[in-house]
Amino acid sequence: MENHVLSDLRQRLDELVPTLEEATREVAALLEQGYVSRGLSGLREVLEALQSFHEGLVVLMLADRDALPRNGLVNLKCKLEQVYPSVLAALEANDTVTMADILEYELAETFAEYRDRVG
Amino acid sequence: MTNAVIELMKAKNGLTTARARGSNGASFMLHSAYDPVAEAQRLVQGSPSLKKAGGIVCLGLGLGYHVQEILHLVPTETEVLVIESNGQLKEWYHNAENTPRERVTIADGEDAVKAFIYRICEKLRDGLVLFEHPASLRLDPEFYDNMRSRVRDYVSLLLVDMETAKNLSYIVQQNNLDNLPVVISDPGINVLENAFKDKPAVIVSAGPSLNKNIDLLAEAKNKSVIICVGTALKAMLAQGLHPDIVVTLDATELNYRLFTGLAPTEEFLCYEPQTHDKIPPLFAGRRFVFNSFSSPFTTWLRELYGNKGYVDPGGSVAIAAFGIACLIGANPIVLIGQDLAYTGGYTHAKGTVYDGRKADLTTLNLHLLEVPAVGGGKVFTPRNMHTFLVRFEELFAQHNDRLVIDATEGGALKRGTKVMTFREAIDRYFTKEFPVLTIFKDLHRKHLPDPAVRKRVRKEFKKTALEYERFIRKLDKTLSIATKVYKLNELAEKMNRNELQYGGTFVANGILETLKKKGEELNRKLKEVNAQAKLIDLLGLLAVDVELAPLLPESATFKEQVERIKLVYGLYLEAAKIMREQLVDIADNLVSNDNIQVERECIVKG
Repeated sequence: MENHVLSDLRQRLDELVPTLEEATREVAALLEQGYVSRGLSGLREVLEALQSFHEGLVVLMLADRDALPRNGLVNLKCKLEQVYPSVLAALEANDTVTMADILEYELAETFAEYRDRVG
Repeated sequence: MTNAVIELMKAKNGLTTARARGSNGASFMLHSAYDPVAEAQRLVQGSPSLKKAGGIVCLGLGLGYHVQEILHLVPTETEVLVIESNGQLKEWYHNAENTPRERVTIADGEDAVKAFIYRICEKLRDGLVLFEHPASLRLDPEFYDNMRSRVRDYVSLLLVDMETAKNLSYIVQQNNLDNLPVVISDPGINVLENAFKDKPAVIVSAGPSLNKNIDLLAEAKNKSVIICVGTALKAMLAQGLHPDIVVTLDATELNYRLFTGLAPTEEFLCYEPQTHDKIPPLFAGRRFVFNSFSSPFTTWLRELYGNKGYVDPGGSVAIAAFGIACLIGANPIVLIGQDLAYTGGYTHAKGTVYDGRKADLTTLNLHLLEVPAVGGGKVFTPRNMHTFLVRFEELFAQHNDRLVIDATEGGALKRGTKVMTFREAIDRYFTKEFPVLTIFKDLHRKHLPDPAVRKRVRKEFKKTALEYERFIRKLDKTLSIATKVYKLNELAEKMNRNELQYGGTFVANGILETLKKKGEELNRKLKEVNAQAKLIDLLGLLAVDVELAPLLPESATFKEQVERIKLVYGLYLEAAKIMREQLVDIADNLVSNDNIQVERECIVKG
């Protein structure tokens, strides 16, 4: 039963990855095009979703330490942890170019790599 | 962050990127730290209107990656004006290798915006795109806000000008027809070609500096050909001075006002057929005609009455006067009263109809530009005169075999001229007398009007009026079918939305079948109408609204297409009715106007 719950969670996280990737690229595009208020509002939503996604990864990791490295979830979790402070710093500096860079080249790329690996 | 320092660094893909740092230490990136080119491509792709833009104003240069991408995307003839106030970025762009220079102007002032928009005015119909580089705007938000407003202001002003041109086009057509009897009879300016080879000419314009040296014109008489623009004639006659030639081309009533109350006695008139029709009769027996403006209609007329001589257009009568000076072979050509600026705040010289008129020189006046002045410093010029200045400079470069002397003694500095006082020019070049008016009279007398031309024009007018009569019937029929198609389409749309109160499949099929048949009939009629290309072309001046109507996008609905057909062919119908009436009237007038022929014959005998 417990394995079934974990497997269901992993599946849901896997399914979330393309949506997060798409949302991340959309927000990056808004910031690049100069739609700052829409971009920042989108960024807030993406960050909340990432927070939940990260929590899901932590649950998985605590339940089955061996499961995460096998399918790249550890990399994803580490990347998210690295990216948060950079995004917050860019937000603080109101530096939309850097925000868009992180979303486009760090987050979205990491999601894409994970998606490719999972197939 | 108005005084930001730009720090250059390598992006992850090896290209140069930049960070702007303010005096308080705060900083932000101007371009991606990963891939500035890909970032620029995405930014530019977000503005699909760029693809068809007639001109682009780009707010913010950065390191120019987006400018390069814009150039890849837009048509090859499209120009880009980049507004950038940061000196470091401009310097980097100029010094960097591979940054595009052609078709790109980088500027930081309002004047450049004005000049650019007026330069590309003919392409404005294709659309002017205001493109913004978001990160650059943070460098100086207030400056870019101001520039954004200015771009919009100037585009609005220009559109107002285009509207004026539209209103004028009807008058231009009417004047061309009203003047036709005299145009047919009068000699063309081509009979004067090189008649004054290497003789000096002075072009008298009506700028405020004419006050400084108008009195010296008496010394120029019979030692130069004195060519005067219409506006300056009153000032000259008031001083007892008589030019040899007066040039006029403006179609409006305002132009005629320059001549009212004057009694020119010996001057010859050089006129464009579009000029106000009450002006040529004031110079009976002393007229030469020249062509300067072209439209399918005026070209057709010209083909009918024959070549009269061509003078480069430039929108200003002084530019036409310069063309005439070149055509008669004059050298040197001396300009006086040619301020092309509001010298001393005045618009015109004393003695003209605009005597005492002052210009609004407030810095908020959108019509003004500041340009280098004769004798140093700057002087204000209105935007239309600035266009003339640019055109003059082009013509001076084209005619570099002539010495052009700017003896205005004030106003805008003109590249390609030698600046000196009129006194110096007279002393140095106006040294020998020659019988100017006698030469004009002799050449005028030698021209014998050909009666066959009048007959040919009359015959062609009658024939074309008949063609228009048939064309009007076709247009009427086409519009009636278009209206039926439009209504049937509305019914079909209602049917699709289930809004019809009656019907069933039988009615629905009937509507669709009839719509299909009527649609096919409309297509056939449109083909027939469009086959009359000559008749449509000739309507150009009377159907300017067709040209100004926006084109339909590829995605236009059937309803929008039919609406446009109704609009365009409705405009053609109105124009065709006016044209037919005009042609009939003038053909009749050509019968009754044989007195002009008589007037010419008297002069020949005299």
